[in-house]
Amino acid sequence: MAEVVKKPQKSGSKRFIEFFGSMELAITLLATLAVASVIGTILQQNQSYNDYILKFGPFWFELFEKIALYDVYAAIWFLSILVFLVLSTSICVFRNAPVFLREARHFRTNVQLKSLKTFKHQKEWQTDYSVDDVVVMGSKFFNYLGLKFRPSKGDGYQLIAAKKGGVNRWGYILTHMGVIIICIGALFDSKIPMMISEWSGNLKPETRNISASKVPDISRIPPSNASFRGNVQIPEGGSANIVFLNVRDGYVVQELPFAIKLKDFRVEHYSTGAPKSFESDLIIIDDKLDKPIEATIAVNHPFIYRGFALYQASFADGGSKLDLNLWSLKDKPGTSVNKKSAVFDEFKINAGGETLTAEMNDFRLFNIQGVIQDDGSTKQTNIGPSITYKLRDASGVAKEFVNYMVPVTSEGVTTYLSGVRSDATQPFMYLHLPVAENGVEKFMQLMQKLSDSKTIEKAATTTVARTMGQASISNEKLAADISHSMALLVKQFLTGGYEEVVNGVKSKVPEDKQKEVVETYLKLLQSVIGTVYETMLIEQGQKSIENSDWAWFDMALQAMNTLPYYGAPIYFELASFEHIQAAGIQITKSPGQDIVYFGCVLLMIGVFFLFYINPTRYWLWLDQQEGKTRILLAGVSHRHTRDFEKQFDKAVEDFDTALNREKR
Amino acid sequence: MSVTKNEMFDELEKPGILSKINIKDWLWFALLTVAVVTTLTLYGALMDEYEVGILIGVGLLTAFVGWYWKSAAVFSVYVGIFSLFSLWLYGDSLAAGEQNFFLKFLLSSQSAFAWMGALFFLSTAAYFLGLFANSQFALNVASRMTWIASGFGFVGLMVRWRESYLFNPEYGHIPVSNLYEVFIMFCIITAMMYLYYEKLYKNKNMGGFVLLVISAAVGFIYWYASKGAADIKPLVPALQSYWMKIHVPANFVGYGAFAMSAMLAIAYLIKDKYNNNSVVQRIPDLNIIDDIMYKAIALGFAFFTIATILGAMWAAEAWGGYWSWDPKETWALIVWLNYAAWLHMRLTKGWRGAPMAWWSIIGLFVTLFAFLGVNMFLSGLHSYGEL
Ligand code: HEM
Repeated sequence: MAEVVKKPQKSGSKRFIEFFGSMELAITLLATLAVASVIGTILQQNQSYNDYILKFGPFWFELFEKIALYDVYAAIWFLSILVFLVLSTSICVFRNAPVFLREARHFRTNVQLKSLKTFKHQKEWQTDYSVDDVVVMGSKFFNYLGLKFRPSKGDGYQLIAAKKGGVNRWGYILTHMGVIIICIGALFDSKIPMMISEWSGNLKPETRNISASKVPDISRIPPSNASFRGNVQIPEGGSANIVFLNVRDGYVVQELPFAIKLKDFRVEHYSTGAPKSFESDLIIIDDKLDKPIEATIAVNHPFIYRGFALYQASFADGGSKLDLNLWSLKDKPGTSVNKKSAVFDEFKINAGGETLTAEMNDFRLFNIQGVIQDDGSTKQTNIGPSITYKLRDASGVAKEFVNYMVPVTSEGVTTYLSGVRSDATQPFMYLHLPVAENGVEKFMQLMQKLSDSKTIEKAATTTVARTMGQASISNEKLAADISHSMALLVKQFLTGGYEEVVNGVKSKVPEDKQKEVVETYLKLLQSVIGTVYETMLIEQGQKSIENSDWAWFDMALQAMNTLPYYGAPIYFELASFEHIQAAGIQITKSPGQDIVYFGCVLLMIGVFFLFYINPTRYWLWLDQQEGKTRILLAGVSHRHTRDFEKQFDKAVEDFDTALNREKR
Repeated sequence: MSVTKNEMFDELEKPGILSKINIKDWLWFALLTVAVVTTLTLYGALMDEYEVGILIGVGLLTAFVGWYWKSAAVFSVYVGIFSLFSLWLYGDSLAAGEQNFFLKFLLSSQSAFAWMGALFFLSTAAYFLGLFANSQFALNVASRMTWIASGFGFVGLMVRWRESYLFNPEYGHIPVSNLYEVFIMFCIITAMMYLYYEKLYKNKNMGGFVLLVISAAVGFIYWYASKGAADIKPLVPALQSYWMKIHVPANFVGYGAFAMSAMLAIAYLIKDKYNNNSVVQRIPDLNIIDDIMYKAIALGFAFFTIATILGAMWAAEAWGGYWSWDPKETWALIVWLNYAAWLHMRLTKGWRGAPMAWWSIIGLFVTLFAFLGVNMFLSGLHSYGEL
């Protein structure tokens, strides 16, 4: 207070400014920002927290969460670096701009001969022209060089100071102001207001998967919010007046001051099947409008309404209506019930002695896959519509299925495909059902026949009679025994495929005979089922049995062989559908965008001024010495000394030529 | 004295930019005007106003580059002639590419790229031969071959553009849409930039170093093509934008310039360390290399700034936000910050010499990761060119 400070101490604010405006800090910040940015590119951002736990284990997960690594670019520490960079740049501009501008304006007419003589680029002449004459010449000369100049008089001398490229100094200001303005603009569009309401407890992200209307107020943001970027899926015919904003592993609901209705959504495809365009026809319904506006958006062609920009972001199923036949595979094989369902529906079914929940997940109209052609090449082909559904048992364990509606040809065989997997990370395993005119029905009919033990026994008897007849053995008891065990064989096959039959043999027959017995059994099995099949066809009115029928039969046997591993007591056949799509619309409001663009323009212009306009200065010093006029030409450039060397040499040459013209 | 002081500078006075341009320059401008106008009359109906703007912009830019650098004007004329010749040979059928001798062996995009690659390899060897054997002849040959290789690359890209339409009118697009195509552009741009500085500094002994990185890129192109990357594929919806046509090339001026500066940095470090060696003495002076390095980074930085800004504007239109911290964007920012720091060190702290050379070599790795590594290792919104 009253104490006298001995050493002239710098004031606090001055030191503050010096520190923040220092180049060292600026470079450090640039480097830190670069390194920090890397983190977010290596660690995938904003994934579900469960994925992170699985990946890192609980300890690291928590640590990473504490330092906000899952949303680095919104982390306090990251934003702080940005703020410091803006601060540092601002102070830098604040300090330098006045100096630089003064410098750019001034001609530096106060130089002394002594200092000009120390310049690297200089040249001296002696001439008979008067000083005043040379001043006129000099003016013309600088005009010729395209420089601005200012003559001045001193004590016994005259001086013309010239300069060019002062705009370069403006380049510095524009570049750095550009950076500052970009950051300020970005601040307007940042999540900071949302983060503040979260800290102050006014906002709490929702993590449950519930419908938007059920989301409580604490997780909703009113339409007045100035800046956001969110997504919503709207089914065809449906509408929405909200979007979802992702917040870490949850979301909040942003309300809109108007509603958007999706009239139609279209995907166009290239001939390869790859998508060519996504388009949505929207209707905007707003109290402020006399009548709704219609607009079409597509990728790269957004629509802007009241400062809200609407983008075509993605697409999905919008709850397509599905007409299903649920074929029983276990309880009453070969029978079906019809079920009207839709994508996103859930319903319960009793099958195979348990209650399963069916969750209809998705419908896809197009499935583009590489299909191997006859010539061995692969061609991207559309293999038709499919449904995806899950069957969940009472304990919550689910299997996922994908069923194709139309037959698919792969490796030369055309079948109905049904894929199954119990783990989303695994590929699907496929069941191939043989194709008939009536779809899968023919196969199901055969299954029904095979489930009836009387039919089997009858077929077995016929088969045995036929075989024994051939071998002319007539032993009724033996025949009955054999047909009984054959019926058993069929049952074994239907419950466990060929493998079950083989295992049955292995448990009863000595090892050296096994192979032979298995072969016989399989042959018998096939002929029994074949008999059932033949009978069925004849019952259905077929006159003769063709080779093609037997080809179908081979495929049916293969399907039966894999059926026990299919993992579901029921098969969903998609009989028909009504395709309803949903468009993923992204809606943003970014008041900072124009500010950012303005900053970008400054930055672009500034950078070119900085690099490509080279500030240079020349001086022409004139005085009288021993009856002659002494001329001293000196020059200096801000940088690019190599280029300037050439320029200066050329200038000297020109001046020299002009000065000595009459001598030529 | 026969000349008055007022007359002394008369014949020198006020040259102005226009009087510096001679008749040849005007012819050049006229030629480009004709080219642009012809293109507009032929295809104007198919272009939107942005594309018309881009075309005129490209015309003006080419005029400017040609005025500034005469060889580039001559080069463009050749590229134009050969491109038109190939298009004429193609006519309306892609099959001509297999049947016509010139197309099959010289000018179809695949052949042109093959020639480009082979010539770049050869010129790399010739530049080094020239340096080691002190043969101006070898250097001159190398320089010629680099020009011709760039010409083949350029013509190849023009032809590929047409081929994409012949292949399937729906697929047609400018060949800057995937990693394969932009790598070819990278080779051409880097080579041309080098040729400019070679002329400016009248020294061809640095050529081998720059051509090395181009050869590496050619190697990559061959490997990548062997995995089917050369196939012409349709554009995904996100890339169907006029922004692509300017964003991508601007980016590659940046990448090319940064790559060149890094290769010169290697030359710099070798020169710095082994200057007693008679071969090394032929490499230009340290301050010349340093000067080119600075200019290359400045040019790269300027274009990279523009490219990133254009990218942001495109993103705003395609993804709904000018900045999403997508890995590709973020790495572009990292590259940009890195060179911003480099420039500051040089300009405000006056750093020169070996540390800056090392820094630009490190810069190349950062750059490389941004335009290759991101596509290989990281997933994001940038959908083109996954390996
Ligand atoms: C992201 C932020 C920044 C960018 C993109 C940027 C960009 C640039 C560029 C391109 C140059 C020209 C270099 C050259 O001509 O070779 C430059 C020069 C300069 N920058 Fe920055 N800068 C940034 C931040 C800063 C900060 C924070 C400071 C202050 C500490 C600063 C101080 C300077 C100074 C003093 C010059 C030299 C101007 C001159 O004498 O011509 N810059 N800057």
